[in-house]
Amino acid sequence: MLALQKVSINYSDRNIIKNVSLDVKAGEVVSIIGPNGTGKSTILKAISKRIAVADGSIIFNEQEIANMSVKEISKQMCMVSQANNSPHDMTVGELVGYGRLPYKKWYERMSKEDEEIVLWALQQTGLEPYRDRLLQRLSGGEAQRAWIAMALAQKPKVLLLDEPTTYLDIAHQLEVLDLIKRLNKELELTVIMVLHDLNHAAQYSDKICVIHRGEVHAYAKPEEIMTTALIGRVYGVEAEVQHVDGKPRIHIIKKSKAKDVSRMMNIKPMDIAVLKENYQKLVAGTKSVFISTITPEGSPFLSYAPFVEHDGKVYLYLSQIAEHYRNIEANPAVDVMLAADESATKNIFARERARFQGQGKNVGNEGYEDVFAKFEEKFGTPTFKMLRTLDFSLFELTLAKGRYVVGFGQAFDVDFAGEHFEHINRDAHGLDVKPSKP
Amino acid sequence: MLKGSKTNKSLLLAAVCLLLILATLIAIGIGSVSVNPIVTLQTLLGYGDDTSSVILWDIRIPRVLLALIVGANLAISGTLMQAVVQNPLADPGVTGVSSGAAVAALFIMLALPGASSYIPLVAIAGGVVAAAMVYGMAWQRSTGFQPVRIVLSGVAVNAIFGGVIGLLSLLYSDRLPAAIQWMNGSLAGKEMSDVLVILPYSVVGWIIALLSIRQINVLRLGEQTAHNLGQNMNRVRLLLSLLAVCLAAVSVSMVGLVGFVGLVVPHMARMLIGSDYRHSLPLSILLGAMILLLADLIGRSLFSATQIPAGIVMAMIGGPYFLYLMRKGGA
Repeated sequence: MLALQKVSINYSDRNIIKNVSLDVKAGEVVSIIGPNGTGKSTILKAISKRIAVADGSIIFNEQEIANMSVKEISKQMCMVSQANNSPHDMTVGELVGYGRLPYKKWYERMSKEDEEIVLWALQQTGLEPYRDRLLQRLSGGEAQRAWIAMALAQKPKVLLLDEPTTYLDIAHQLEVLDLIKRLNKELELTVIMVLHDLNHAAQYSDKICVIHRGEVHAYAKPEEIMTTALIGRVYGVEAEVQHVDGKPRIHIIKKSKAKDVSRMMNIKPMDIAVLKENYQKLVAGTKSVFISTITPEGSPFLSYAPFVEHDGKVYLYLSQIAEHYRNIEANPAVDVMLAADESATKNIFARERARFQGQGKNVGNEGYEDVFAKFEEKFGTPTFKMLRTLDFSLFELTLAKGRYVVGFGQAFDVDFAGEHFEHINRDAHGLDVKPSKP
Repeated sequence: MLKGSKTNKSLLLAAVCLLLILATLIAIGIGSVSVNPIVTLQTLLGYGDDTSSVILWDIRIPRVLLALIVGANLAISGTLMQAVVQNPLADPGVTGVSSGAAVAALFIMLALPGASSYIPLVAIAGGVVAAAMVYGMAWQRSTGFQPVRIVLSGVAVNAIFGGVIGLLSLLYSDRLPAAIQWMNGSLAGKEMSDVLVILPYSVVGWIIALLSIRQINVLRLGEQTAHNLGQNMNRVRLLLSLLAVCLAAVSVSMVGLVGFVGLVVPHMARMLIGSDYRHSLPLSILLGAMILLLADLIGRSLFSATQIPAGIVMAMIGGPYFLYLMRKGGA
């Protein structure tokens, strides 16, 4: 219904959004999350044609936004912001009445039908008794509902919400989000909203789009998005993720320690250890490792793996991957992978490979399709040795040649030449995390 | 602000309307020959004697009508500009129209006094050129007309024209007294033909302004919301500014620079009746007309030896009021 195709947006000369593609289906609730200043609101503004895109296109119902007039757009979608200008002496009814403006010529007055739609919008948001009340007399949550009512009076198909809960207390936040969810269900409204609260995003969205540094970092279902690893990478905080009734529940624990790198990853030492001689074969002359893998859901999962030496061993920091697996409790693959024997792990490798190939191409998976094949082609069938079994498995890696690492029954593509490599160079970022004993 | 229902607000409007009519009748009567309101009414209805007919129709009524029209124009213009740039300190002068008109008119008065019959036309041209400069400078391709940029380029253009006015005054200081009346907005010596020149433009302007009230109102909700409601903000800003410039330009061209009506009256209206332009714009029109009428009345009757231009009276009433607004935190 609404698609962003390789959209780039600039403010003056500064590039804010680069190459963002996003596909929103009718009736979906999509939340856009990400740290401050990454361009989340900018995307909403571009969708509503408040700002122009520098490159790419935004398609709404097979029509390009750029070719639609502001007025046409305002009949199809509407936006509610975190804070809105509420004139001190405007009543709720008056405000909602303005929602009919897109349907009026500049000299036209409100018709009976308009009045009915206004009433309907007030009823939908439970504000009918507040019709003659001044906006300024409303609580934050009621005011936000009033603005949503105005948006409804526009009879839109898409509701754009820019941090609709930011200035509200907890109860009002939920009240507004419940209202949004209900409108989504009952009126089949498509909702795209920018949220800051990860739990809200996880609870109320069909899909979550993570924007990081102006790019789509991930776009998938909440349970795929909300992982310790991703939260660590994007926000630079340590978090725990529980699953309650199939929905992720996120507990933010603290800000990640590592300085600059903390924004990019969640580093926890001692998740995987490599024998020093193997490690030296692996990373001869390099300082850190970039690893990519495929999640059980088939989406690519990128991890950075710095390392430290300790007691004759070299430790890779792979906690994000481990955490990711631990969190997908429902996934049978994880159980098997926790099995403390080598043949089981081998089987997993084979099974995952078959499963993955069977899935065909997933969006964003380009380049990962043949990672298993590539692995075997380079190294032959891998050998595994279990190091320990805690919440997840650790493998000592035995590698004949090259730069591939295997763990958790998955293939990790170690790409020393990748452009990400420099970003996480341990020395450059002064990683001072001390390894704990394995 | 008047709290309460629509009826209360309508009552207030009706009351001000009545007051305005009363003030008009009194203003027509007061002067070197005073005519009492009943005779005034008789004369207006065509039953007066010859002397009072001549005095009223040839001298007083044109002057009073002009005060009413110009006052209304400037009040609307100020209201529009305050709405467009979302700044309570805006007045018609923000668009550069006053200083542009002043430069053009002064140039004719001081440098080419022979062509003084063209002053109204030249003043309009000067005002429009200055406004075009302001909006041309304010325009940005990426963001369109941003209120802050309109205000800033207005300030800059006003400064430039202010400099030119200073220069002209210095170069032709011997002829300056002739220009002082105009520079301070004087309604003296106007005839019915002058009224008839600006009346049609003004009435058209009023009608358009009244029909645009909803568009003006939407601006109160902020730029983002107005955009979401399908308003092409650049177009709305430009058209409303254009209306403000036209109304101010025809007024300034006729009576010179009248300060403060455009700044103060919209505030008065808002304080009396609230920020909804459905009420405050009509009230602004009435109040603008009334205040300029009264300012002119005071100016021409208080010191009967000299006629004090309405602009001076207005500024001396408007200035303190403006300071009061600032102290009160209303501005």
